[in-house]
Amino acid sequence: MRANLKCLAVAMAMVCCAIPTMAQSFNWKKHDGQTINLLLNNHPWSQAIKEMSGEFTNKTGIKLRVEIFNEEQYRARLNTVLQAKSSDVDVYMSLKFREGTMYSKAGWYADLTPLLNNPASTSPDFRYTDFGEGLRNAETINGKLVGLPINLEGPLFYWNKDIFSRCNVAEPMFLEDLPDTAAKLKACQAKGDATVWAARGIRGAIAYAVSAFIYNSGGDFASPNGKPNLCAPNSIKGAEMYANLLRDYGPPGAANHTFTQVIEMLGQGKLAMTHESSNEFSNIMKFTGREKDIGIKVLPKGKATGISKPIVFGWGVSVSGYSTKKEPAWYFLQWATSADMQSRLVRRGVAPPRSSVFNGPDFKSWTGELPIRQAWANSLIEISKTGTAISYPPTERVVEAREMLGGAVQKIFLGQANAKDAMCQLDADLAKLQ
Amino acid sequence: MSAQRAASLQALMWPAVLFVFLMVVFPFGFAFWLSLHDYKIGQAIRFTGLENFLLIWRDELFWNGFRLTLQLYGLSLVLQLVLGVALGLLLNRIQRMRSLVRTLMVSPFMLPPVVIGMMAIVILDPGMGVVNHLLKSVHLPTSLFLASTEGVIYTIVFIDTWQWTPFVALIVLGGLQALPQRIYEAAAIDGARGWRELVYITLPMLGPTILTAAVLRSVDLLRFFDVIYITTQGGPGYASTTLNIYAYKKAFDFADVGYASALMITLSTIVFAAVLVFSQFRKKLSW
Amino acid sequence: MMGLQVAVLCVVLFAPIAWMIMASLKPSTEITRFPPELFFSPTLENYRQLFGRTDFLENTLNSFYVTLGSTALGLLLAVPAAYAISWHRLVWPATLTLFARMAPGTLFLLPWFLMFSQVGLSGTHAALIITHTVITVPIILWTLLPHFDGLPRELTESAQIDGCGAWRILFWIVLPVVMPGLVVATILAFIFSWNYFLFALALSGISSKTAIVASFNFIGEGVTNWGALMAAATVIALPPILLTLLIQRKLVAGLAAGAVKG
Repeated sequence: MRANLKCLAVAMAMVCCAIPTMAQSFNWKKHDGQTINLLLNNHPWSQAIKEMSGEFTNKTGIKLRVEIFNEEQYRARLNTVLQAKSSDVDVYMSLKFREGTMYSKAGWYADLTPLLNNPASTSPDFRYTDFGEGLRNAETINGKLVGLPINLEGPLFYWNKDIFSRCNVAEPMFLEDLPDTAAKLKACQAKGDATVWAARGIRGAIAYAVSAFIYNSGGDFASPNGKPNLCAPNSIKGAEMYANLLRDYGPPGAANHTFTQVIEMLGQGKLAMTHESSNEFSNIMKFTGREKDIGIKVLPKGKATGISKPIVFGWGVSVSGYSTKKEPAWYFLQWATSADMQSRLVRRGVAPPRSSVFNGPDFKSWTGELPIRQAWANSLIEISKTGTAISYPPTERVVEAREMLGGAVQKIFLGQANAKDAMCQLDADLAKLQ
Repeated sequence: MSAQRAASLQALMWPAVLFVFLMVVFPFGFAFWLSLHDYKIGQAIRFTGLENFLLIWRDELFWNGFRLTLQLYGLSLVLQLVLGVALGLLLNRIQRMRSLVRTLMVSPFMLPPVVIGMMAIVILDPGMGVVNHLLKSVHLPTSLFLASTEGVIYTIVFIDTWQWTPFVALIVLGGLQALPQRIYEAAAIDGARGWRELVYITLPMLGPTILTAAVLRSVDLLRFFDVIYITTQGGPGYASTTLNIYAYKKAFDFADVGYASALMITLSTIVFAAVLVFSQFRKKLSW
Repeated sequence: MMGLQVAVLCVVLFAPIAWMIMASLKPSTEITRFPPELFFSPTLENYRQLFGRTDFLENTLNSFYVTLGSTALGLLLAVPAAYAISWHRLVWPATLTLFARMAPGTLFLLPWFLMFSQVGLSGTHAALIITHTVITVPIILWTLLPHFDGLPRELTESAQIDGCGAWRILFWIVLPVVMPGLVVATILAFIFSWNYFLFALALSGISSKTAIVASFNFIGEGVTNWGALMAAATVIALPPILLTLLIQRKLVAGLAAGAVKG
C-alpha cells in the first residue's frame, strides 16, 4: 500500500513536472543562428519593426535583414523578385484585397495553415482568434492562410472644428448634409483662405475615398448576379456627390491631389473637411494645434438609406512561396503580430488588428491622454465592425478596376461627362474585366 | 598606314561594344519573347504570336501615349537645343567668377528626379504653390499647371526644359572650347564679326556637338517617365500618360506582363528609329 | 548688359535649388506653409534625423562606390572606343552602345536580376557598378565623338608614322587635345550614374542601397517627411555640384590650339 502511494506520488510528481514542460515545448530558439530577409513597404509599422528587430534576434537567435522601400518602388522590386522565383526574400507585406487572388494563383504566398495548426511551430500564446474575423478572412484565400494582419486602416471623416465654429456651421450628421455644409462654409468669410473640401482626385487613388459615398447612398459595386452595378441610380448618386464636392468646393488642382496635398492642407489648418486615411492620424498630430481642433469620425451614414458601410482593410505580412526558411519566417510573423508588439505600435499610430489590444490597458491609457485619440480609436473600432474592403466588382484585376472607377469619377468632376454617362460607361468597361 | 595599325585601332572599340552587347542581348530577347505571349501574373502563360502588337495598334491609349510622347519630345527638344546653345555661348563668354557662375547655371540637371517631382508638386500647386502666388501678386493669370488636362504636357515641357537646358549648354560649352582658334583668326581678318561669325562659323562647327546633345536628349525624352510618375501618375485622366508611363502601369500595376513587354518593344523601336535618323546626320556633319 | 543677363539666368536656374536648400533647414511642417516664409531661423534637425536615424550616410557611401566605379569603368571602355569609332568613321558601334538607353529601364529589371542571381552577384556593389556602366558608356562615347571627329587626321597619322602604338597615341597625344570633351563626359557620366535609381532599386541589397533609392522613403502615406527629403536632396545634389565646380576649370579654350597648329 505504501509502495503504491509512493508510486502514485512519484507518478503525480512526474505529471506535475511534465505539464509545465509540455506548455514550454514550444521552443523560440529552435532556429537560432538563421537569417531571414524582409522586404517591407514604407509604413509606420515597418519602421517600428526595423527599430525593434534586435529584440526578435535576442528572443529567437534569428537575425533579420530588413529592407524598406516607398510603396511604388516596393512593388517594382517585389514583383521582380517574385517573378524571378527568387528565394532572396522570405517575408513581405501584401495588401490582400488588391493582389491577393493574383499572388495566390501565382504561388507567391506560402501556405501558413500547416504551420498555424502545428503546436510545435506556433506558440501557445499566439491566439489566432484574437484577430478580428474580417481581417482573418482577408488573409485566407481558398481556405489557405496566406498572411497575418498587421494593421487596420480606412478612410475617416476629418473636420476642423475651429473653422466650423467660426462659421457657425453644424457638424454634418448624414451623408446628404455634406453638400449643404460645404455650401455654407464656402459662403462664410470667417474661414479666411481655408479650403472647404479636399479629397483624393488622382485617378489611381479615388476608389479609396469614394467607395463609402457609393455604399452609404445605397449603391453597390456588384449586383446580386455579380455584374458591375455602378450604373444603378444609387451608385451614381454616391459617385456624383463625391465628384461635385471636389468640383464645386475642392481646391484648384484637385485632379492631381492625393493624400500628400490633402494632409498638408489639413495639417496647416487650412482645410475644413475631408475623407482621408486613418494612417495619416499621427502625421496630422505633428502639426501644432491640430490635436485640439480636428474632429474624427466615420463618414456620416446616408439619411435616406441609413447605411454606413465604410472601407476597411489591413496590410498583411506574408511568407514568400519561394522562401527556403518558411518556419523561421513564421516565427517572425508570430512575434511581429503578437499582442505585446501591437500595443507598443499603437503609439506610432498603427491601429492594432487584435481585439485584446484594442480593449487592453495600454491602448486605453494612450487614448485616454487626448480626446482626439479616443475619437480615432472609436472610429477604427466602428469601421472594423461595419466596414468592407470591397471597392470593385468581382474580378481578379482589382487594380485596373479601381483605376477605371477613379477615371470615371475624374471625368465627372473635370466636367468631361455627366454622372450617368460616366458611370454607365464604367460598368461596360468593368464587365470586360470579369 | 599599315593594316596592322588599322587593326590595333579598331580593337580599342571592341571592349565597349561587346560589354554593352552582352548586357542588353538577354533583356531584349527576353522582352521580345514575353511580348509574344499573353502573360498576366497568376494566370497560365499562353503563346499568342503577334497578337499583342495587333492589340497595341487598336489601343486608343497607345495612340494617346504616342501623340503625347511626340508632343513632349518635339517641343522639349527644340526648346532645349535652341536655349541650350544660347546658354552655352553665354557661358563661354563669362570671365568674372567663371567657376561659380558656370556651376550655378548648370546645376538644375544635377537634381534627382524624385526631388524635381516633389518640388514641382509644391511649387506648382494651383492653390498653395509659390508660382501662382507670385503670378497673382503681379496681376497675371494663374494656371492649373499640372492639374490641367490641356496644360499638363506644356507644364512638363517647361519643367524639363528648366532642368535639361543646362545639360545641352554644358555639352555645347565643351564643344566651343574645342573649336580651333585659327579659323576665328582667319575669319576676323576677313571682317566677319558678331552674328555673322556666329551663324557662318560657330554654329556649323558646333554641328556635331549639337547632334550629340540632340541624340542624348532624344533617348531620354522619348522615354519620359520620372517627373510625370511622381506628379500626376499620367493624369489628369490620361493627359500625361506617355508611352513609358503606360507600359509601366501595365507591367507593375495591372500585372499584364506580356502586353507591357510588347509596349516596351514598340517604344524601343521608336527610339531606335530616332537614333538612326540622327546617326545619318552625323555622317553628313562630321566627314 | 551681359552682367544683367547672367544675373537673371543665375536666379532663374538656381532658384528652385536655393528653395530646396532653404527647405532643408526648416522644420518639416513649415516647408509647405502657404504663403511661404523667406526669413526664418534655420535648424539642422532634418540633417540630424537623416544621418542619425536612418542609414543615409551608408547609402551615400554606396552611391559613391557605384558612381565612381561606373564612371571609371565607363571611361576605360568608352574613351578608346570613341577614338576608334571616330577614326574608322563607323556609325553602327555608336548606335549599339545606345541600345540600353532606348528601352524603358524597367525592361532590364527582371532579366538582369536573373542574370546576376545566377552568378551570385545579386545585391552586390559589383552588380550596380556593372549596370550603371551600361548607362555611362554611351554618354561618354557620344560626348567624345564630336571631339574626336573634329581632330585632324594628321595628328594620329604622324604619330603612327613615328611608330607609336594605339594606346600611346591615345593617351599622350590625342587625349590632351580633347580634354574639354573629356571633362564634360566625366561630369555627365557621374551625374547620370549618381541620380539613377531604377537599377539600384531592383539589384541592390541592404548593404549596397544607394542614396537616391533611400530618398524615396521619405514620401509615403502616413510618413511624408518633407524635411528629411529636402535634406537628403541637398546631400545628393552636393557631390555633382562640387565635382562640376572643381573640374570645369579645365573647360578653357586654347588647350586645343597648341597641338593642332603646324
